[in-house]
Amino acid sequence: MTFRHLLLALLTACALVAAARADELVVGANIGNVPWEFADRGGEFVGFEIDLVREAAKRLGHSVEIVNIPFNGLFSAVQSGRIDIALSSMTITDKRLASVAFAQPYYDSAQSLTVIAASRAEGLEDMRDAVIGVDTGSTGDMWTTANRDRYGFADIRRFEGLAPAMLDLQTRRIDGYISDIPALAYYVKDKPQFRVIERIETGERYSMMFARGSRWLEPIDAAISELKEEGFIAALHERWFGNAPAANSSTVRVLDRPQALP
Amino acid sequence: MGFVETFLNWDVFLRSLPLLLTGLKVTALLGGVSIVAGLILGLATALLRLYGLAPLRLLARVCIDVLRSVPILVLLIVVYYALPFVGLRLSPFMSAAVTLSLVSAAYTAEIFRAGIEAVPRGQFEASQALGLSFRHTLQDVVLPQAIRVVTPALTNNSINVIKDTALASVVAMPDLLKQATQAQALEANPTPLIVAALIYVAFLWPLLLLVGRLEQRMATAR
Repeated sequence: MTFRHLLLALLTACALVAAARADELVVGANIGNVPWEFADRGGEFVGFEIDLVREAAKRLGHSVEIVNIPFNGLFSAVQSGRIDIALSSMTITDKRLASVAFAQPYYDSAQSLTVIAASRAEGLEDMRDAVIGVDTGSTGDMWTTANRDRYGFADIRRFEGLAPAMLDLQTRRIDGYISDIPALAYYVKDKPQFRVIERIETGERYSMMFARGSRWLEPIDAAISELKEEGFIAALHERWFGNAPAANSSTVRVLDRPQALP
Repeated sequence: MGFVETFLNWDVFLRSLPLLLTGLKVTALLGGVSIVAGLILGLATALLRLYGLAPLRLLARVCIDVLRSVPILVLLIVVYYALPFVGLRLSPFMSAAVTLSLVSAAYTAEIFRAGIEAVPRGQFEASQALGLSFRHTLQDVVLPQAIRVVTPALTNNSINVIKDTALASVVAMPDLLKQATQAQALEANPTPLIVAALIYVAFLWPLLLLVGRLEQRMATAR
């Protein structure tokens, strides 16, 4: 093969890849964030948000490619166009809306405090001088940092996700872990060595994250409205949490897309 | 959103700078401690490897080779997550400092060994003829010459140690990279990462220039 042939073959290959990409949604997911997106025993990516994004994309006639990106990497991945949608039970905040966009919310959430079963602590009030673990830059991180003096936490350790934090909880490097309540409730279900001892109301809501001005934002948002009306998302709630969502929650009601502050 | 607004956002830069500077402090402290500990441990290991009793020589050699062949990240995770299960629970800072010092010591030991072996045989023989003890031969004759030869290599190694401190962010250490990723998630904007990269460059460039100067001086001294 001459150099020109090689170049031609390379260009064709590039064009083919680009064509394949055109009708494929690339979704970045923080795999390991149970029960939203995680790998099952066979290594298949499953979860509430994985089911949701696959169904929404199917309605638009597109296939989905899931890539595993840790929580912190999702922001730059969305902004650089490396992925079209980011999934990580992502909370909509005003600060985030200044840089990225969100579809309408589909889950009302709160934070939670988890300790090991042997701990004597019964709530936040018992965490004076305790070392608290959080996920770097998460809403749990924001809440814990803002309330550090109020509860007298000794130190805040920042982790890249649930698994390493739980290891440090088990080895007692940290005394408590503050993170999203649905993930922790799901995680400790079959692990008697941990307990969730407090629900911390923060009024946060989860949605999918997009780049600002993404061409996928409106169609996916419309698909979510449709799926709410059909009861598909409520069924997902039943499937992954074992109970029906509250009637007036964002899992059931069709809502407006959150807008950035002017 | 434009490129500048996304990657070089001035407001985000101003808001995240204090956080990044606390990270720089941790990075500098961790780097400093690891470099000094690595130098001391490395010199001791090099001497053991060259002049120790046979079994100690072998032990030093095995340690050096193992530490040079284990990826630092793997060693750090073993020290941090595996040692607690045998009862040794080090803080994030200690875990990172121990890991970086050990690896740096292994490389430093090889650098010192090369330096000592580069000192001509005649220097040892002359010291012996003058009746100098082994300790004084090393201390007053061999090491001063060896250290001069290996200073650029040691400085290079120190730069690598400081760069490797970024690995400590995986064990919940609030170092420069960790603070940058935290600020990035808070702001949902990658500017803090770019700023962190610039801080690393600003911090390490003077050291690189120093290596160049040292090499030049050695070349002219010869």
